[in-house]
Amino acid sequence: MNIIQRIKNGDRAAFRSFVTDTADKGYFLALKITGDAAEAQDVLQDAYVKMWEKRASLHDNKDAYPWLSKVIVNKCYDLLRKTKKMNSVEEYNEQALQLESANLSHHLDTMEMAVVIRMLTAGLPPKQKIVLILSEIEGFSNIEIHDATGISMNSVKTNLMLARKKIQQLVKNYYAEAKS
Amino acid sequence: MDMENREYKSLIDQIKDFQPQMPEKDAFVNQVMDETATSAKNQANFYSMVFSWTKNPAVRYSLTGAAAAFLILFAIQNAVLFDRVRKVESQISVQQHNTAGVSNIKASQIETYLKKFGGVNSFSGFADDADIEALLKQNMELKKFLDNHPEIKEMVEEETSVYDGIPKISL
Repeated sequence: MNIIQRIKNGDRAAFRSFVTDTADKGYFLALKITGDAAEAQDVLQDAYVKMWEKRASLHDNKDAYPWLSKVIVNKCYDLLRKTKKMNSVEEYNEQALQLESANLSHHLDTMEMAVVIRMLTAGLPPKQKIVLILSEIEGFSNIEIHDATGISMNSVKTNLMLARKKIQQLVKNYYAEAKS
Repeated sequence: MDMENREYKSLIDQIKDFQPQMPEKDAFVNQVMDETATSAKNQANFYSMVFSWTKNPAVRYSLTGAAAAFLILFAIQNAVLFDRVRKVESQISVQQHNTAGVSNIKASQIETYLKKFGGVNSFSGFADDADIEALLKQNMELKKFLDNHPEIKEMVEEETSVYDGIPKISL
């Protein structure tokens, strides 16, 4: 019996093992989107509770992480829309300075990497931000983004294109400043 | 690939390859396990509270089904009653006398009519006691009139019992 079948049967040890194995990835996913450690933890906890409550609907022979990641994305997107979170680049000046001193070629810890992503996506509206993270970093297809967020396919494509342009410009400026 | 794109790609790859580690993961896992235990307990408590008197699943399912059927029937009954009230409302009309002649107003419009011409602001909240007294007096007179004329009363009852879409009664 695989881990998903055991979870479906209400095996709490199997569920604990699944949470332990996937918490790092799930947390980082939520952190990338929300940009806030406490919010990321809350979202992740809600997603696990939902998974436990809906365990009967999980597929026996499929990895449950894609299902969980969709729940995380959906909850994060709701949060972004509710709080209309779109931070200006200026707000991250201090973090950007830390980033320059940290140097991207060195090993970064989870929080530092989250700062890098926050700095990159700070000026993007919620839709562009979530589409960019899911497509470029998480490797979601456009259909998967549509399924997870409810954003229409055309809107996914357009927002992805706009977000890429903005980020490419930001990266260009960053490296130009770093070189000078 | 130009320089700008290479730098962008390299940064995205670096983020993709990153191996995250959640701070205080053990505490978080324990918290999730506590939370899921509480949620399961709450669900179980609800069912055990409602069905505390029986453990037989057949009885529980039957009762849940009966409750759902009752709710559906209740909703249908409400819809039918509402439809009947609407039909009777359309059937009764009052006559408005004005300089242009006499025109019929349907009961559903009476409230608007009273607001406009009768000095009564609303059926749900009368302006003052005088409005209520006037309305009660009018009602008593109508009742008295119908009691004194049983043939008209009978006609009113008969006419309002069958609806064919055309307003017939003038009060």
